[in-house]
Amino acid sequence: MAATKPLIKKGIFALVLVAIAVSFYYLTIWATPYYVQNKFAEKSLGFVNTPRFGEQPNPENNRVIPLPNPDFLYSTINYDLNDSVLKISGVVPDSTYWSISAYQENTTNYFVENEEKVKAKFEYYLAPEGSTSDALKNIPKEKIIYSPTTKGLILFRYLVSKAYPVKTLAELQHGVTVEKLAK
Amino acid sequence: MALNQKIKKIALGLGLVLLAIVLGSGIGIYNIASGKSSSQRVIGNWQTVDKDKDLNTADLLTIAQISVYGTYALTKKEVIYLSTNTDSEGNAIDPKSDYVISGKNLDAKYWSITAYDQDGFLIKNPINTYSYNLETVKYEADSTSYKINLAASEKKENWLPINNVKKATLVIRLYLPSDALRNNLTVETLPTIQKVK
Repeated sequence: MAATKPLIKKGIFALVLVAIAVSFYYLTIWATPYYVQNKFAEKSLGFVNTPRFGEQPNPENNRVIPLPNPDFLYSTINYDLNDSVLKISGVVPDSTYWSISAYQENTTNYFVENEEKVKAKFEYYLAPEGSTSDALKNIPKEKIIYSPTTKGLILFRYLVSKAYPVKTLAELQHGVTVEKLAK
Repeated sequence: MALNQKIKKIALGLGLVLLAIVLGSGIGIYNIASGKSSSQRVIGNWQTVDKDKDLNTADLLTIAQISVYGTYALTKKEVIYLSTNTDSEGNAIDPKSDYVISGKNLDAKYWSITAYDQDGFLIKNPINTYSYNLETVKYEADSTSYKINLAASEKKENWLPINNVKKATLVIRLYLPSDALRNNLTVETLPTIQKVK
């Protein structure tokens, strides 16, 4: 009995070590997307809840986010809904691909709409999930984007095409506005 | 003596705990870098997300891999992404060789084929061409087939340069694909990549 006690102790310790290794494995893969989003947010410091308008990606101007699509103009809004609900509005091109998409804090996409559904103009209200803000009263449901996390990213994609060359698209791109509404 | 042994035991225990942390995190990082996950589907030499899975409902490992190597990707409802770093024979694309990508117009609102370097960024080249899409590719006489020249050396038509890179990766994007294409993504419907030189 006395001889088996140290063996049991060693066995328990070995199990604890395995549990620690497994926990850190899952912690690493769970935390990585948050790290990526934070890195991007750091680069957008000073531009929270403000639209940023990107140029058409090329090898010189795009070395941050991998796999950029060179056929697109991208705009981003790095958002933080701690203090406000955001009203995002702008104009939609009619004959080239356009989309607005939203990503939660772990970079997972939770919302997307494109020009086939949204015609001419768009107006969205971005609020944290479960928000009871007065700013959302009388706003149609389809215009509200509920974010599962208070921080995240809105991404616009504009396809450069024969119908919409860069210059024309850039005008639409720069027409996007973000208004902070009281929470 | 007894105290010395106790300190040694504690140090060994702490060392093993540290090793478990490093090992667990290290395997996590290795698996993210491997690009392999249970949510993957292979179609010939092209890889995409599994039929029954999506980027926002995938396992933790897939979400981590996408956040690092395909940040801010969209779900399958909007886009289907396919990627490869091998030719149709399964051999790694050699940036010093010439390849022909042969395919047919794909039934989607917008499709494109883009070349990336070893880090997933666009490749600097003399003609400032990084991709071909349904509008920019020059079709064959049948107006539906195309051949894209994937090569470091200059080509007359449909040249997709891969010069001065260690490794090349190709990505196909199918924005708003038709249901027919969505349900029939096979080796036959996707472009082939043949080494010619």
